[in-house]
Amino acid sequence: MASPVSVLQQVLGADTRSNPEQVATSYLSVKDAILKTKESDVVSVLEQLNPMDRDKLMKYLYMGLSTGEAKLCASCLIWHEKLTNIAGNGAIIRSLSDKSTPLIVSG
Amino acid sequence: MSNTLRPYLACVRNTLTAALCIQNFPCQQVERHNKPEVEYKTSEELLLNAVLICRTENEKCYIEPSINSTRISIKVKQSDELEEILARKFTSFLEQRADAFRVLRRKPVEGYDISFLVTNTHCDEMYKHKIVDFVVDFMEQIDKEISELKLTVNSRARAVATEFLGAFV
Repeated sequence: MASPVSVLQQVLGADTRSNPEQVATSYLSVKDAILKTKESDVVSVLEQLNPMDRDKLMKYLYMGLSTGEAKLCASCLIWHEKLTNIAGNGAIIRSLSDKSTPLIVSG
Repeated sequence: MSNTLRPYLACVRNTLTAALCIQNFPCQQVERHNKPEVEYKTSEELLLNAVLICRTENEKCYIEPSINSTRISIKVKQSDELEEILARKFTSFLEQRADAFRVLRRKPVEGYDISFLVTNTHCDEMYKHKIVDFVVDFMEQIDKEISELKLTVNSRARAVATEFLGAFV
């Protein structure tokens, strides 16, 4: 049972620019890790990620928020707030302007 | 449920602060024209990633940024038919007076209850953080307004019914 941090580091480190189909599978692993982490551990997990991974995580958070499932959205909202406190609004702007991955997941 | 309200509004506030980084950009198709690109969507490169922030399936906020304008659409929580009617009446009341609000759109985007369109001129003339405050406060207050309206409708209906049917007792 891998810890959420190592799962996230592995998944976020994967290169999705050259391999767009990877995004869907990465999204599922990220979603799992987000749902399994306790609220008190979120900040420590985020601090262990490097800045590039935090930007990618922001994109996956928006994907999760677009689904509308109550439990996933509640976790993503908490993660989003904590990630913005650490990474700043720059992470949000970078996820808005990187058009290679759409931030809305249908269904 | 109410424990997701604060993170939801914080998320919308942060995303709006990022999405309102807009600048003047004249129309590329017609000379001397200046159009909000998010409404026309003529060029892919001028549009940024749209973001859908859901608190639940029925309560969400859709933010579409572009180079010179941002469109913010809100779906308000409506738990029963009476709330649906009240929300529709309330939002159409506001939309008829959209000129006074300046950033309000006269018709909501398909699938949402109310929409805002913020352009670069709005950001030049008004403080950006105040525009964000306005939208987030609006989202917070509209739920309270609709519950208040529902309570007054129910109490008025009860008073009227008692009076009217008292004549037949």
